[in-house]
Amino acid sequence: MRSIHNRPWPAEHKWAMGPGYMVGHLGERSFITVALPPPYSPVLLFGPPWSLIRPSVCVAMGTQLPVDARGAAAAILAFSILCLTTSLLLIWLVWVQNERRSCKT
Amino acid sequence: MNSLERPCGGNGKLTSPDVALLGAILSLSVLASILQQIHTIARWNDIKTAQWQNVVENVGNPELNITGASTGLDLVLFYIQYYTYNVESMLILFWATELAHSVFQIRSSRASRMHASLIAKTVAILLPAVQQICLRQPIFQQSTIGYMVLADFISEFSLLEHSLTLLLEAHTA
Repeated sequence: MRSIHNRPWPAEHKWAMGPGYMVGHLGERSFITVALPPPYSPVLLFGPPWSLIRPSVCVAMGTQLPVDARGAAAAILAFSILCLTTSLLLIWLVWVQNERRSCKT
Repeated sequence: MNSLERPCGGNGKLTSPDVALLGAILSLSVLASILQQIHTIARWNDIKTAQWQNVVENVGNPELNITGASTGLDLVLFYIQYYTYNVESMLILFWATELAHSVFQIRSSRASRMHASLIAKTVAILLPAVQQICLRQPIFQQSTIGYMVLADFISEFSLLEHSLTLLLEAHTA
């Protein structure tokens, strides 16, 4: 049985889409990106994170955002994800440090 | 008295529950923002068309001033973020008040400080929710000035009061 890594990919079709998944080909390596079906395709569930911000992927996903705004949208989304990560890290640090016990009465 | 030896709550020091609550509210705010961004990226044309139809159908509605003509899922996500902003501003306001309580060395029992802290957190969580419910009622949307006062009084009052409190504390210290 041939794996997707050995599957030949036409140059003009580097991305193949299915219901809720995409198979990508970057250089010599192939990989699968699992995302929600349209219109929420940009919601990445599994796969390389750069597939969210690659312009070719955005086009393949059929986003309605104008091309000129995609760079700014990707940057703002990345910053928001950073903010979410740090705020969750804050909660985790409070939980781990368990500062409540160290607060003397 | 060393700051670490002070009792939790009511001493102007941000304790673990305060930080955890702020972090949780902040996480909810950012999560709603990310969902709205993804929704906007995916359905830009549909959203803009729906917003235009909403503006045409609701000309003069003061809700458009704060929601930016959002409808459907975007409106829900907007109100979640609006709620979290107001909760955060009230939490910071009550923290500044507790700090003033400590700076000016107002005497009170530990039990009363704990109760005051608990009541403050409850008010900070419930009052913005009541405000959101009122903002969605048509009767409150009949007056533009009244609606804007209702929409902004929590954040404006919190910003003004905790700024003045911190300035006063800085001047005193």
